[in-house]
Amino acid sequence: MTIKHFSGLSILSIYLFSSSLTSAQTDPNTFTPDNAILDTSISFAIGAQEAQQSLRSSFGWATFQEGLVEGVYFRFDPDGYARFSPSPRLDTNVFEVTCTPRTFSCTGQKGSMVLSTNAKNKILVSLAELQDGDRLFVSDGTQEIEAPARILEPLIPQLEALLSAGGDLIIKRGETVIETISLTGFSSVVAYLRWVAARQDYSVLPRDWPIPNASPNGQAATIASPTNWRNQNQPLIVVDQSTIAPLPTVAISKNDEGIEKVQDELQEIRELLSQTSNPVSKVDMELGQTDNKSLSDPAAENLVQLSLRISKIENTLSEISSKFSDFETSLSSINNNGLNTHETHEQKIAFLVDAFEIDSDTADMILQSDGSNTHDEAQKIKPDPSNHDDVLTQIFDQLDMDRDVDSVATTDLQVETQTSSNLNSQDYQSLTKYFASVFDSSLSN
Amino acid sequence: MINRHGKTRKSAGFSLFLIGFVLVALVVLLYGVGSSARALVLAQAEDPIPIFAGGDRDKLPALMRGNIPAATTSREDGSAQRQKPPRMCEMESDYFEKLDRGLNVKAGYTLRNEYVRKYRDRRGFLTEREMTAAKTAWLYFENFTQETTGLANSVGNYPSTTLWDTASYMAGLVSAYELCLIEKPEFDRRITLLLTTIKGLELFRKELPNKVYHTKTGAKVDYTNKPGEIGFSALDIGRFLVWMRIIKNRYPYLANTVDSVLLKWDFSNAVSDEGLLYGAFVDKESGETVYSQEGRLGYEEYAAKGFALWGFKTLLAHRAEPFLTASIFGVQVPYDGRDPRIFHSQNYVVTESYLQDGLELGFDLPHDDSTPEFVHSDGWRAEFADRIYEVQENRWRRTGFMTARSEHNVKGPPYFTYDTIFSDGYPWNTVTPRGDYVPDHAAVAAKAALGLWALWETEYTDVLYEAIIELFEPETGMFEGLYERGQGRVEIFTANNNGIILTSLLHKVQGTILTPYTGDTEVWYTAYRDQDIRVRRNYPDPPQKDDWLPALRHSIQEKADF
Repeated sequence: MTIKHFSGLSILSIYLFSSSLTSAQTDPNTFTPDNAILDTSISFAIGAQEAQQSLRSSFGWATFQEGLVEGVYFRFDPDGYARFSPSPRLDTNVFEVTCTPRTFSCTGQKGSMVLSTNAKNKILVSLAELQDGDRLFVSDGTQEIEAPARILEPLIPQLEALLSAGGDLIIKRGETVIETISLTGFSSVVAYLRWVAARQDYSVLPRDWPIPNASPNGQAATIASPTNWRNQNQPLIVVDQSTIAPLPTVAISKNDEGIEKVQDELQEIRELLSQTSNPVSKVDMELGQTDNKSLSDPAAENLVQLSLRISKIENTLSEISSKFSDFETSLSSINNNGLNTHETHEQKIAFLVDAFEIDSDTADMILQSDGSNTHDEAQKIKPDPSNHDDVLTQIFDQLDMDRDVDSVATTDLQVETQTSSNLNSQDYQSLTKYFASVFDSSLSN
Repeated sequence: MINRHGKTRKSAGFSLFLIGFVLVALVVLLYGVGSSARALVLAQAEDPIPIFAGGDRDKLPALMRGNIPAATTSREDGSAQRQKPPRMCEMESDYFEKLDRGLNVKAGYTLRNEYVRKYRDRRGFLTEREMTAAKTAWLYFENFTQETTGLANSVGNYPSTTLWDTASYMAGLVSAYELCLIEKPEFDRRITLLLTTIKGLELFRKELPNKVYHTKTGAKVDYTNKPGEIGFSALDIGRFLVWMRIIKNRYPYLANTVDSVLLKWDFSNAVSDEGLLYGAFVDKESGETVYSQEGRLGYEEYAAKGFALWGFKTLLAHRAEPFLTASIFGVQVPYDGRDPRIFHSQNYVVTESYLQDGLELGFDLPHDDSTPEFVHSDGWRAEFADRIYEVQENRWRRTGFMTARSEHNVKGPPYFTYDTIFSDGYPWNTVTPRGDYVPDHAAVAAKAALGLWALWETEYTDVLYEAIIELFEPETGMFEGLYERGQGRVEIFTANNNGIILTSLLHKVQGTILTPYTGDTEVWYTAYRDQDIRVRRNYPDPPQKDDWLPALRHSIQEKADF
């Protein structure tokens, strides 16, 4: 055997050894202390506490955390492995969360439903049992509504709020129920996934989440930093049902409330801006030296960021107002033209539910508020599916044109825009997506 | 004076004279006798009988010097001491035909609170299938013993271990030697390296061995196998003490080595004055050592007997009380009565601790070295063990689930489960160390199945035997078990499982593993008598009859309770 052969064998053996080592380290079935990603002494919610594992073996996690939040009991280990269940034994109706070793990427599973987060911290729902043609329904126990297929795309806040409301997610193939998955614990698991991904940062939890008042490791001191304030606001729009409309049409009916929320935040940021620019402001004095330092250090950077945010939010505010009025106009147009008086009242509601993914009550309210609602059966026609597309296309065209106009008007704020000449059919997006994008882009920066 | 008969008559004065003369004579005589006696006594004092230190006339108690043997039943009542059985390959072919198994002895308690079970253990040579299982189980230790330290990994190739699992390795080693799987040079090499390493282990705060050690380096580590210290476990140490006593008694040439290991340890905080066992852990906030009572019904008594084998007085730890019973399939299953919500310690009822008591100690008291194998001097332990067996057989008969429950490792999270007969108020509760109910991890534990098979010769254990005896990976060892819900084998290999399986097989050949101590004085009792170390470290004196753990009985279940 030559030296060359020997060297080759050595390299091969080293490679094999290292690869086997790597596989052992990443094998989820093998206990590896490096898989610890969470500090179990940091409470996930008020009342949760760290406890000792009753270990008899030579290895394992020495501690875990257990608690009760939003009606579900939970326990999690330092490696992120968690169980959520309405039963204190964590034995029935369980959401089980497992994390990829050495990462903050976790998935929650119940039945065939798997929850995960994407790079933008959006929740992804996948259903192993789902086949083409299957339909999804959300049931609250007494009635059920069909969920849109986009439930399998990164969840928009409205759909996330819908699933977080509880009940069951039902998969139907034809009229046959394939699987019924309880949504109990959905909101808690979603919050947990985000919390883990954010490395136990409380700022990603929903606004009404029962966050402990004080936390170990001095986090209480840093939670008041401007950066955390900003982050803390971000998910409020994403997941908090109380601050957002669950569906676009509901937002229309409650547009004043939505605008008020944005205005509130605007005011809040203005106050923050003034406090930051004033080194002896009242807030600084209240926060004490530690917080004072955390506020003053990034002040210059934050000043610019906050200015931009104010500008964007003001712009968004005007956008939303104009969109609401335009959309109401479009709806009136639809009722006057597309749907006309040939449709029954139920068919109109069905159309609105299908086309705009709103609930039937909201659709009914819209039709009634429009004033064109009539129950004259003789004048109603069955809606033509192709007519739906025309109507939708008309709405999208109108919205996109409006957006282009607004975008041109805001170029001085360095908001990325497209001119109408650059638009094509692939750039169209639904109203729901549009609103989501407006909220996200304006509030996440 | 002359009377009418012509004879003279004595006067009263003469009588007085005569009496006085006699008295004087008596006094003179007594004086002479007394003087002679005094002279005789004084003469004897000038020639005293010498009193030898440690001899019968030694006024100082020899006990205080530790050079009297521990009192055992054979020493106290003169009964014949049990004999260490020969290795399997050295047994005569008719060895088992001569065994008295007490098949005609009526079951129940004796007047001395000994207990004769209604079941008998299996005895005989190993069959070919059993030998294959034994060889495979020993392969685990051949594969996963670290050459540098002589320590065996607790679980597969994960390089950590506890004293509990090290005791399992010692069990495997003794079994392999006695079953003739290895010869004496190999046995001596392994045991010497192991004991030397254990003697050199850095103790937890200079008291007792840390809960976990790294098997490659011998360094004390935490549960994540990183350098650190956790505390010590009284239960783990108790089991380790059982096997140190087994090795010392079986192989007297290792006695000094064994003693020297234990004479480095400080037991001052492990056994309380009232005889309870205490473990230790580190307070997370203050970093100080916290001692807390350790052990629940089952394990606590087993560990208590381990300590008692070395002279410690573990009176309360050996008591069953406080205990309650739960009626499961007609059997009153005993469980620890200390409420977990108050004492923060779970009261798992599993098979393992009863098996270890039966296999290793024969359900006997530590001082018993003479009763027949079928008479169990720790009576209530044997009777409770029968209940543990019966409830599992009943479950099989009523539900069809083969049942041999124990704590066991599992592949992947949660890595370990307490697969219990009863815990937290629920029968057949399978829970993780943090308390999650995980019925999918319920399994027929291989070690429990083979242990039941060895101690209860019944139709049911024949079924368990068929399920387990070929449950192995030929090159690695015996699998941990067979999932109850049909997910197949528990594909993980552990020292505890393979050690107990080897012990079960050895028990079939040799009976109770612990054999009597055949020597007299022990270094364990005589060392450091010239210093205060024995007092500071709470080393005991040789136990005498007054120190024996009492033989007790509890009410027997006469009929099924539904």
